[in-house]
Amino acid sequence: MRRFFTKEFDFDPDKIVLCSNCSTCRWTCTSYEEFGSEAYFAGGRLRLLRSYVERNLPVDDDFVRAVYACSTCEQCVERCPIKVPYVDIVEDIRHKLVESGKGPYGRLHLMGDMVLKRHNPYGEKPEERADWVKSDTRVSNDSEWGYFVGCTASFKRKEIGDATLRMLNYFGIEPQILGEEEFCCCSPLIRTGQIERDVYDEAEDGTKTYVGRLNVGEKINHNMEKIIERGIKHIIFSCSGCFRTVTLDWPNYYRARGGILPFTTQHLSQFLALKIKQGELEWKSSYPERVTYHDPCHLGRHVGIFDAPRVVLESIPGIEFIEMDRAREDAKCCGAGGGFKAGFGDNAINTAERRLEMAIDTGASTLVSSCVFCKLNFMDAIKKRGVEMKVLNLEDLFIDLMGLQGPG
Amino acid sequence: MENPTQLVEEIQDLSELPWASSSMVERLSASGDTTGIPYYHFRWKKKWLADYVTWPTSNEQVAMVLKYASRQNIPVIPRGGGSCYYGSASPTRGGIIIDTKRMDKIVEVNKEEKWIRVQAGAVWEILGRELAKQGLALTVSPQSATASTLAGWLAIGGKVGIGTPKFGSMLDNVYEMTVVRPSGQVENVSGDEMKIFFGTSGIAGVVTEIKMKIRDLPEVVDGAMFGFDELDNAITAVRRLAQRDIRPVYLRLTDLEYEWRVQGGLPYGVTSRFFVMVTYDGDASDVADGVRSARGILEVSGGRDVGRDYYELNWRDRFIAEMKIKLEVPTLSMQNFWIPVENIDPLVRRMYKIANSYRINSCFYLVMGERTMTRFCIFAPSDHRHWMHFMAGKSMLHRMVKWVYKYGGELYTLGLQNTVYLKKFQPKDYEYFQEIRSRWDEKGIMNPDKLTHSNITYSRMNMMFTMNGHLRRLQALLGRAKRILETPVSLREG
Repeated sequence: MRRFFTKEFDFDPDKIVLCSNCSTCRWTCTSYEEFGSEAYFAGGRLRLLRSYVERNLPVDDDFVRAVYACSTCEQCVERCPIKVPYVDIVEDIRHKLVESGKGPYGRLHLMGDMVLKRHNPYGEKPEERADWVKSDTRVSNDSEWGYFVGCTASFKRKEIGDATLRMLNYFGIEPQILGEEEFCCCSPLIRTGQIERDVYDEAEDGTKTYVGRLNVGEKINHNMEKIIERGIKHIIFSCSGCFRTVTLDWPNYYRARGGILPFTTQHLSQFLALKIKQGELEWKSSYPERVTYHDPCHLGRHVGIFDAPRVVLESIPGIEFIEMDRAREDAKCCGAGGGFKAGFGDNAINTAERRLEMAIDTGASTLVSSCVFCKLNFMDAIKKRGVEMKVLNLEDLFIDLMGLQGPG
Repeated sequence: MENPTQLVEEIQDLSELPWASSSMVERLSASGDTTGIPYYHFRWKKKWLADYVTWPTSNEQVAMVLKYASRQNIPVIPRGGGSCYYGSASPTRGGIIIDTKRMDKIVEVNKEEKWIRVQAGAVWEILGRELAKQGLALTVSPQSATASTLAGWLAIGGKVGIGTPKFGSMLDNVYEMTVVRPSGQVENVSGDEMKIFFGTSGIAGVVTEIKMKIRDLPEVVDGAMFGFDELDNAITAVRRLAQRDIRPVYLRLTDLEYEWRVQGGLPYGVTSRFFVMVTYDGDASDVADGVRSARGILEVSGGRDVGRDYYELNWRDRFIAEMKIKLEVPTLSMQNFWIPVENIDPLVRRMYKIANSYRINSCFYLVMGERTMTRFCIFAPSDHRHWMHFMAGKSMLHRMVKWVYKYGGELYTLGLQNTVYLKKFQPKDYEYFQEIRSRWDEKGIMNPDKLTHSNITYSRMNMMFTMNGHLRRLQALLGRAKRILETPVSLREG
């Protein structure tokens, strides 16, 4: 077995031999579509990995770039005849690249640096995390319901946090939010392989000062402790990335109870769909427009939630719901996730533009999604294309139709 | 477009081209293929890593690369989907890879005359989807349609796939092609002129555009799948189905281990050992007639219906049938043959006998190409980390090649790996390919070591595999031949 290990880059040989290189995953790969080369799709990357490991090649920048030019959308796993867990493998490779100091790609390390220093990848002040809460909305300190806001809604798209809180308040729920105590869920770090690494500050003259050791497990367990301390039993998410990470990744880091989380997780699309099924939601106005829905990869393929958002959309009076050419399990990725937008900004917008094209082809005037990153990427694509199309998340639609907009 | 000849003159180095790369990741990823074997097995491929990868998007750009390569005497390896199991697109002397996948545009669709003109790097599945949007469909497509390109299937022969029992081979469905000759000359070819491009791994030039038949989207697709206890009954059923006037689009015979590995198990209560699957498409009444009489034939031949769900599962998996077998198999070796269906019976029995003596696994599937000829595919599932098991699988495939030639068959795909057999067992074809090369590729730069030259001698290979086979049998005799893959329970019970 020694032949499969290299000094520089050891990797589980059992994982390397899984892929048959049939290339079935190629043409649906957003990365292949963008770069048009065999090094930039799942099967091609695994072929590369095998070559590097078995031929004992030194890891170079091109290899690192190829490994990071993937949005981890899981379309390849969906297409794979034998369901090779490609996303797990690519995250594992990224982890090993970070461990060996060859990764992450480009400036993706800044996210990790900021999470260590300020508990969010944007480098915003942690004490301002709950500044988005408006005076006419209600949060509590003893509810069994919690709202995991996430870094983007806390700092960059505050209207999302506000809309979600108003939605919960409408149904009589005053959730707890962790506020300053909420740390990043670590989705961007896990996706880019920054599980554990040393962080340094680099001065202009190039001298490095050791800051500390980034450890995803510590951040996750901090969040876990705070949630448990507060007695939260059900957590709502507006961010698909946070939802996916807490639901699927946190159990790997939570050592108690055999990794079974002591609370339930629910995405707001599931929450709304449940309310509709229970007859607790009556829409106050209609939306007489043609609408299409984009499945966020983290919510759809990763966790398997396809029906809930559609149940919500189809229940809205006057709406004409139409599916895109590729929907549900087959949905094309917008290119925002897996560190792709952060590392390959322009390519991510090109990718979103191609998905936007599919939405335009349906004749829809509104593109709805359930992910803040998808929304942002689509807005960039719309700006680039100069087309007229509304991009909304489910919570935006909800507060619009229910007349719950806050002051300002 | 500027005159390509002038452009070529300006190129002194491929690095001048924005659509070429010499980076290690590009060369590695474009030099590999479906063969899931480790690199130490590639020794016989010699210089298996290309020096350059190019991604042309037009005839002119292909011509530019070919003229450059011809002038510099550099090998050129045309590449489609890279899904061939026999190294058809593998470099053996380095050189330049022409990756044709960026030439994938639909040029023209003629709904009235039912033809399409499309760039040859298009992937079959995408093309099928695009046509379906316009109410049209492909007549034929390969079983690897999810990955392979038009020119890729053409280069390995395009004889068996979905639709071939009804519409004939790919050659029968192509009206005209645009090709770039090894000299860089761009030409349109049609009729018999096209033959030298089918099954010749690109040695006669790079096919860049194809005008081919299409049809209306079939109204109905339906079929059946029956299980048989005896192989000869199943073969009789296949022969009778293939001879009928209502032609199926897909007709397949498989064995128990194949089904078990691909679908993970059979429907409850099914105990058969061989399975025949048949599918018809077209207008509703024809399909209903076809399926009704097919069911009659299958029943009369002694088959039992395995159920609608299982049939549909297999039909849905028609494009990934070969790959799904790798579900629990780390290394998949296989060999494809082109053989009359009536000669299959002794070969299958021979395969089981050899596999049993080597204590290895084996299974097969067979797809009808036309009325009498089939693609007979034998698998030797293994794990290359268990050297003796892996090599015994290879030895079995080697022995089966010899048996197939004895029974009037030949190899289906030639590529790099099978050229050694071509030279030994099909000397006339070998000469024919050499004639093509000497006429169109004087410098021998096009896809070297395929069809016209073998970089391994038959006697050496024969000795190696025979020795391996004997050693494995000795291992079995001493009770040391481990079966590394599980065998289906029903097979174990006989």
